Amino acid sequence: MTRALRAMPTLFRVATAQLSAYRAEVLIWILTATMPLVMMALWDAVADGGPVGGLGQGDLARYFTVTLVARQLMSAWLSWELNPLIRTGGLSAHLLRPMSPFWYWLVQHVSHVPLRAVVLVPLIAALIAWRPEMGLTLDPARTSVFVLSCALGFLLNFVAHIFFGALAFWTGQSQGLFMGWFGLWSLFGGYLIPARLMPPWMAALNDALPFRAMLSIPVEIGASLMAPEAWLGALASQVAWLVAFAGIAAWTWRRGLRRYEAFGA
Amino acid sequence: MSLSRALDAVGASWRASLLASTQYRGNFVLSTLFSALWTAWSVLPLIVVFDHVESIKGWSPAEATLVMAWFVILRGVLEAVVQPNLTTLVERVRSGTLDFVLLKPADPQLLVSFSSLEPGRLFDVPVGLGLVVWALDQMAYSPSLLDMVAAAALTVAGATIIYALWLCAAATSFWWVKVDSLTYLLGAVMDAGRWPGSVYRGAVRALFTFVFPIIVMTSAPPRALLGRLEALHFFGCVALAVAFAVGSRLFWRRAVASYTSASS
Amino acid sequence: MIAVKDLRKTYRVPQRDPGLVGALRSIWRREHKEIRAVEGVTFEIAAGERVGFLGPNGAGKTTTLKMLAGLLRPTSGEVSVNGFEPQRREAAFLEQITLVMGQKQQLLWDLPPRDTFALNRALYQIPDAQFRETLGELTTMLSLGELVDRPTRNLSLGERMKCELAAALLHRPKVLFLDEPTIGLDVVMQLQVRHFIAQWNERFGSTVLLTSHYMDDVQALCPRVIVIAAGALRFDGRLTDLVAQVKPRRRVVVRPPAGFTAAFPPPFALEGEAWVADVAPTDVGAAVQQGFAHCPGMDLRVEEPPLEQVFADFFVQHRTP
Repeated sequence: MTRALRAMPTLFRVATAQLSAYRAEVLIWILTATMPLVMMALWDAVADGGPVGGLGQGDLARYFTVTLVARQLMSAWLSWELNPLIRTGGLSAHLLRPMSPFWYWLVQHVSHVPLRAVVLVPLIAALIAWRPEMGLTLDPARTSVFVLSCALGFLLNFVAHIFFGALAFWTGQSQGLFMGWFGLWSLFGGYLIPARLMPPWMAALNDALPFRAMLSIPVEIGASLMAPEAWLGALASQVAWLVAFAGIAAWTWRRGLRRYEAFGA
Repeated sequence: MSLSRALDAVGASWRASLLASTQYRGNFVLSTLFSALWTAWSVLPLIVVFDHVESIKGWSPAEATLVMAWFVILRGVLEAVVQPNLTTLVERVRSGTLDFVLLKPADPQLLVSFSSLEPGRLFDVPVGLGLVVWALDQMAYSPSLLDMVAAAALTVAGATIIYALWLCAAATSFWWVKVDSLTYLLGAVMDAGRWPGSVYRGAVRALFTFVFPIIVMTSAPPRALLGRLEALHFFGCVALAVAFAVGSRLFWRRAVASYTSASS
Repeated sequence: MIAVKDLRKTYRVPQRDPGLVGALRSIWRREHKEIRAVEGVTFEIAAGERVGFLGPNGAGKTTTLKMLAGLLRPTSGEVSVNGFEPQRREAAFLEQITLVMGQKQQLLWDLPPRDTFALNRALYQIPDAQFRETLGELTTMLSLGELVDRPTRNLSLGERMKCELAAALLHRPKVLFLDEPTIGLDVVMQLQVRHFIAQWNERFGSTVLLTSHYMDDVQALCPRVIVIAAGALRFDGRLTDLVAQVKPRRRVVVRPPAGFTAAFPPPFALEGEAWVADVAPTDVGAAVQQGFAHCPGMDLRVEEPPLEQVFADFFVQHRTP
C-alpha cells in the first residue's frame, strides 16, 4: 500500500504521457457523451405540450446537462482493457510486478478527468447559453456534494468493470455480458429516463438495483432534484453499494486469477 | 481486382472470422441472449414516453415504433458485421500485423471489412422485423409492394452509409492508431436515430441529416413503408448513400497510401 | 530480379520533452523530428540468390525490406522487384512475394494454422491440387504433423514459427523476404529453419533476402551479404571478403600441458589459461612453429575471429554520428 502511494507521482506522470500519446482517442471518448443530448431532444419534444411528471422543458434540459457532466466524470473502461490482456496472456506481465496493476489503472482513469473537465466547460457554457431556462446554478454546498457523489459513483463503476473484466477468465470474452449490464445501467440509472418519470414497476425494481448509485444520485443532487435532507442517505447508499461490489469484484478476480492460464509467448 | 477473386476473399475472410467468433462459445450464446434483452431495453424508453404523452411531434406510438424498429435492425447489422472489424483493425495497426493484410493480393478494404463477425448480434434483425409487423398491425395498415421495395432499398442505403462512416473511422486508425473508441462514437451517433427525425431542431437536425445521416437511415424507410415519402426524397437518400460510399472509399485509399508500418 | 537505386526513406516522428509539463504540453502541440531511415541505397540481386541483409538495430534494414515488399512508400529512389514497382501493390506482384517477420505473425490467433492456410489458399487463389501438393511438401520439410490442427495460441514459439513459414510459402512465391525469422528460437529449431530455407531455395530457385542478428544464420545461408548501417549501404559482397576486410587476422590459441609454466614468447600473450597470438593468415605457420619450439606438447587451435566480433567492429566503424 505504501509502495503504491509512493509510486503515485510516477504513475500519474506515466498516465498523463499515455494520455497525450493517444489524445485523439480521448477526444473521441469525450464526443461519445452526446447521448444525454439526444435524450434531451426527445424529452424536450415530449414536454412540448406541458410539464411531464412535474418536469418542464427547462428542468429536463438541466437534468440532461448534468447527466452529461456526471457521465464524463464517472466514466470507466477497465473491462475493455482487461479482456484482451486476459485473452492474449498479456496480463502476466502486469502480475509479475510487485504492485497491484489496479493502482495504475485507477490512476490512469483519474488522470483523464482534468482533460474531460476542460473540454466540458465550453460545452456546458454553450448549452446554458442555448437553453437559459434550465436555470443551472453552482452553489458551493451542492456542487461539493455532487462532486463527492460522482467520486463514489466512479469508484462503483470502476469496481463493476473489474468484476466484468474478471469474468473473462471464464468466458474468454466478457464484453457481451458487460454490454448487457450497460443496457441495464442506461435504463435504470437514469441515463435515458429521469428516475422521476419511470413507471411504478421500474421505480420499485430500482430500489433493489445499484444503478441509481451509479448515475441517478449524483445527477439528481447536481440538478437540484433532490432535497438536501436526502443527500446523506443517498451518499450512504452509494457507499453501501460500493462496499458490496468491491467485495464481489475482489472475490471474483481472485478466483479468476487461479483459473488463469498464461498462454502466448 | 476481379469479381471472383473479390468473392473468394470475402468468403474466405468471413469463414475464418465465423470460425474464430464461435471459438468463444460462451460469449456467442450470451451475445445472442442479450440481443433480445438489448432490444427490449431500447424499446422501453419509448413505452415510458408514451405513458406520458400521446404523440411526439406528430408521430403516434406505432409510427415511432417503426423508427425504433429500423434503428434496431441497422444497429444489429452494425454491431454484428461492421463494428467488430474496427476493433480488429485497430489491433492490427497497433501490433503491426496489418502488414500481412497489405501483403495479400486482395483489396485491403475487403479483407479489413470482413475479418471479424459477432454473429450473435444479428438476432436484432428478426427482432426489428417483428417490431415492424407489430406496428403495422397496430395501425391496421398494409404497405404496397412498391412501398416495401422502397423501404428495403432505403435500408440498404442506410446500411451503406453506416459502413461508409465506419470505414472513415477505420481509416483514421492509420494516423491516430488507438481509435477503438470510435466504436462508441458510431454507436452514440446511431443512438440519435432512435426517435423520429422531427424531434431534432435546426442545426442539430441538419447534422443528423447530412453529416451523420441517421435520420435518413431510420426515419426515411418507415416513411417509405407508410407511403409518405416523396420520390425526390427517396432519390436524395440514395444519392447520399452513393456519395458516402464513394467518399469513404477515397478516404480509405488515402489512408492506406500514407500508412507507416510499425517498426519491427 | 531485384533492383534498387538511390533508395531513400524519411520519417516524421513525434517528439516531446520528458517530464509532466512536457507531457501536458504535448497534448496541445506536437513537435516532430525527421528521421532519415534509409539514405541512398543501391544494389541488385539476381534470381535465386540468397542474400543476407545485415546491420545494427535501427540501421534501415527492415525499412528497406518493407519498401521492397511494397508496404512502405519510398521518399525517393527507384525500386523494382521482378519487373514490378512494389508500392503499386499489384495483385500479380503480391502473389510472387512473401514476407515473414520473426516478431509478428499472420497466423490467426484463435484458430489452428490449418484455417489460416485455408484462408491464404483462397486469397492467393491457389488451385486445389497445387495447394495439397505444396502443403504436403511443407508438412514434410518442416515436420509439422498435427501442429496444424492445434489453436495457434496453444503452440510454442518454435512451433508457431514453423507454421508461420508454411503459411507464408503456400503460394510458392518467387521472392522470400525474411525479417529475423529465427529470433527467439532454440538452437535446434534455428538449425531446422535454416536447413529448411536452404532446401526451399535449392528446390524452387526462389530469391531469398534475409535479415538476422544471428551470425550463424548468415554464415549458413548467405554467400552474399549487404551491410546497411546508419541508413547507408556499407558493404556488398561475399561474406568471406567482409571478414577479410574487417578482421583479417587469425587467432592461434595454444594450451601448454599441466605443469608447464614458462611464458610463451611474443607474439603470444596470456589470456586466461591459454596463450593467444593474433597474426596475419600468412604468419600462422611461423607462429605455430614458434609455439612448438617452445613447448612440444602443447594443445593447438587456429581460429577465425567470431563473426559477431567482425560485425561489432564493422558497425563501430560506421556508427551513426
